[in-house]
Amino acid sequence: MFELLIILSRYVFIIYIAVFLFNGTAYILDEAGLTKRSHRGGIFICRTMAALTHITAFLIISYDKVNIKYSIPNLAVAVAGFAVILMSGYIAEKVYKDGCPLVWNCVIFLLDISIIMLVRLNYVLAVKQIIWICFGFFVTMWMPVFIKIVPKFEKLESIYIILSFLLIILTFLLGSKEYGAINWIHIGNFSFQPSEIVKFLYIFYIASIFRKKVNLKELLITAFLSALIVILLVFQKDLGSALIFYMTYVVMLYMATSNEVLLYMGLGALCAGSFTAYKLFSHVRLRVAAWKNPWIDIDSGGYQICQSLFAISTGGLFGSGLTNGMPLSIPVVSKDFIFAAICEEFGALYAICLICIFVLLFVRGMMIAFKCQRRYYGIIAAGFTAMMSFQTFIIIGGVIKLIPLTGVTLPFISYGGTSILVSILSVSFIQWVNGYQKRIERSELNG
Amino acid sequence: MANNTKQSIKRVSIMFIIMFLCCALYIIKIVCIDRDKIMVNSYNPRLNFDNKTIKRGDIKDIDGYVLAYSEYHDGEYIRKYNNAETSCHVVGYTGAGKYGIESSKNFILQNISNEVFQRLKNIIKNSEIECDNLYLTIDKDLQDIASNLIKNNKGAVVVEEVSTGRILCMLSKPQFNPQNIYEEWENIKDDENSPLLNRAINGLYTPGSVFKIVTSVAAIRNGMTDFNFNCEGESSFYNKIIHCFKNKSHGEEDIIKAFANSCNVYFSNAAVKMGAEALIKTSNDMLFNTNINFDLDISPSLVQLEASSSESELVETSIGQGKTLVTPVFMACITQAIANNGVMMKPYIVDHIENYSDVTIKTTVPEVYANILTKDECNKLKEMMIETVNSGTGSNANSEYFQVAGKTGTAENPAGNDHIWFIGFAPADNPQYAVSVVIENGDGNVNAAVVARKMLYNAINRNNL
Repeated sequence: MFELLIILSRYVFIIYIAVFLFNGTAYILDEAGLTKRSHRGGIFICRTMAALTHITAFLIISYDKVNIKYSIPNLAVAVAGFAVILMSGYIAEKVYKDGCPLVWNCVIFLLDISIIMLVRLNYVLAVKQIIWICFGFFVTMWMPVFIKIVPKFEKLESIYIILSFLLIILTFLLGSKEYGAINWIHIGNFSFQPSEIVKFLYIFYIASIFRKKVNLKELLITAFLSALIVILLVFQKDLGSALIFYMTYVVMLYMATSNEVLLYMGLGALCAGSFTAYKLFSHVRLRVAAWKNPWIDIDSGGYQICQSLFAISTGGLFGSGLTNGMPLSIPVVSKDFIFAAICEEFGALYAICLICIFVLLFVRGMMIAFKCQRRYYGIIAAGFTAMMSFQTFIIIGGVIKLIPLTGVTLPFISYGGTSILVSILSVSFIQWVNGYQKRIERSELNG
Repeated sequence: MANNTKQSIKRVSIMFIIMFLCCALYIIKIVCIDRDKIMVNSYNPRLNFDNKTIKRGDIKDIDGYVLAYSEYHDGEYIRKYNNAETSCHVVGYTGAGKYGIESSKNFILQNISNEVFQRLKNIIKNSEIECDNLYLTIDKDLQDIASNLIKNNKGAVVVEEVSTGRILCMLSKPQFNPQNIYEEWENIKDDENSPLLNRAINGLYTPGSVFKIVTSVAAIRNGMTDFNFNCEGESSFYNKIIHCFKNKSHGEEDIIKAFANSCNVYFSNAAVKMGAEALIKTSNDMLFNTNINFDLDISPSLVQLEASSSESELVETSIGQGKTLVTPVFMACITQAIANNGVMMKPYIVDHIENYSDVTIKTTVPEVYANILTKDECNKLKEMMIETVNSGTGSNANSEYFQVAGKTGTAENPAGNDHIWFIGFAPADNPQYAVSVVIENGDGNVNAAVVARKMLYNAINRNNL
């Protein structure tokens, strides 16, 4: 009986997410002025779909097949997770009054998938993740206040970049190794990933520089400092972050200057840089070898990617059904490889729909940047969106072996406090920019 | 935002959408196109899962004889084997550990077709939830015949259909009983005769004279088709003297006579004349030193010769001694290719898969594995192999019903008697089946050429069995 429920739930989940995507897309088309219809209802439907996904999933993962009863701790997490997500969404909407409701819906949906998968994989991590989400939204609540206190924060570029370098150098001194990369600092029981925080500072830095027309000298200085950060990250073997920083820099440069020559030069330099890194560093060569043919080195270098591909391919289009797969055989499954676990149990179709939700989120982020009249805020919004897009692409592409694997987290879904915090704050800032723009539009109408 | 900035934001957004589209398409590629190739890897832990609440699929032979099935007993399904001893290495076993087809096709044997429907029926009518059934290409009757022919010797027999690569018989001796594998585990595991080893695919044997097929191909490819040599029973090389069997001197020979006589002197001199690199290249072209794709893991057959190898290593390799190691199934594949004008078919042992209501859901389609020989080379080899059976060392394979083409081999073995080989195919003018037989430490009570001839006869007349 219960098996039948699991089998059927695979299709039900796809229906939920499809309805979400349909309404989300309609909303975006509407915002872009391509269609005309009221979208308030669509937003409510989206949130209902997230809630139904949550309830359906927990009906399955809370059930103890062996003892034929529902497990109380899992149900508790289910209720707590549900409450936290609804509360967070509510708070976020109250604090960021003119934020885009679709963006919150996407974030809520993704966070919910995260809690579902983590309860399925590791109950303790799920509880921690919920605490981190609470903390993230708590910080988010105070961000508009902070922006008000520091009104001229676009002029603090030197502080941003100095702090960034301090954090990265600190990692060299105090950092510890995880999965080959030195990108964690442990202080007592508390540990965090400095490169995640540097991402935040770095976007502010670039946007501060590019808020006005830049001359050649400034351009060269930012290019030099960015290159330095990237090189330091490569030395820390944090290749994923290095790639994210570099691509974000190139794209922000292009968006700020609209100079295509710079874009192509940037991409050319990426090829040259990757080639040099390939020649210089053995850890880069290992990654590329594991990407080109993981099967010949399945015991060591290719192990992670092979396990991930096994999960994805065995799951097939519709997945094995929640709790029916073997995602725990995938290494680092709660962090970098969580996407493979989703593919296995929810199925490839669902995973593709999930990618579409990311796309909705990023397209909406870019639209907010697009509409923003104040250049500085627009560039920040575009920068955050670009950074999250690259991060999402790099880890999903790595897990499915489209590109060489570099370990970064999947925004909103992977387990990790710093990752969750930075993701939520990035989106909040984009929302704040949207609110700012709306206020200006209103005052223009009134004035 | 200024207009040109808006323009570039738009372009960047489109770039992101394209990037994610690539991800989506790649996932579809993995799941729809590469799935069968990726998930069957033995490192995939999902292949070992065991669900005793559903009826695991049957394993049947080509005629539908049920070799393995599951029976409901005290709340769970238990695996039963039906006189499957002669097919034990192919069928394998399942339980705490897995082996053979039970292991490599575990996923299919536990795949539930129309799962929603079957589970609904199970709830309403309490019917069994049945998984897909496997039909193998092997014929249990042929397995039994081969087992009887080998008697109590250790060894292996492989019979392959020439035009398709279908394996009709894959026998390995000694055998075990898969039914009580767990009760007997300690004894079976420690048995010095290694009954758990599937000698047909994992037994690595010195090929002896059957390797002269490869040396002949190398000679033909290096313009030595007309190479003649006067055999005086032995021949001296640097640090090595090569003898013919019983030091018999064969006199002046061409390649056909030398092959039929299995003349060591002729082939070692031919090898020295063409050099090690020629032999290495030909053996690699004939797929030695590579993994052969198959439903079960085949150990790669090895020619361990290098350009820098000494002359003694070269001459030993050329007559199938030295460090060369081959599996019986690989020699069957080579023989099949010779019989099939040089086209090696992909060997296969799973014929088709049927679901719970006997609907065929997948049938293996024969496919070309590699072109390893030219038609001219095959004609020459055929001529040589017919001569071997008609007037040479393989006369025991001579049949009154059809013309057999074949090659004998005697592999020297430091521990005990020589291993006896025979590979061949029949009928020579219209080849249907290829056979490969090896008997370990043959003491003369069973002749490999006789076993091969009888297996060919029974395979050709299979429908009358």
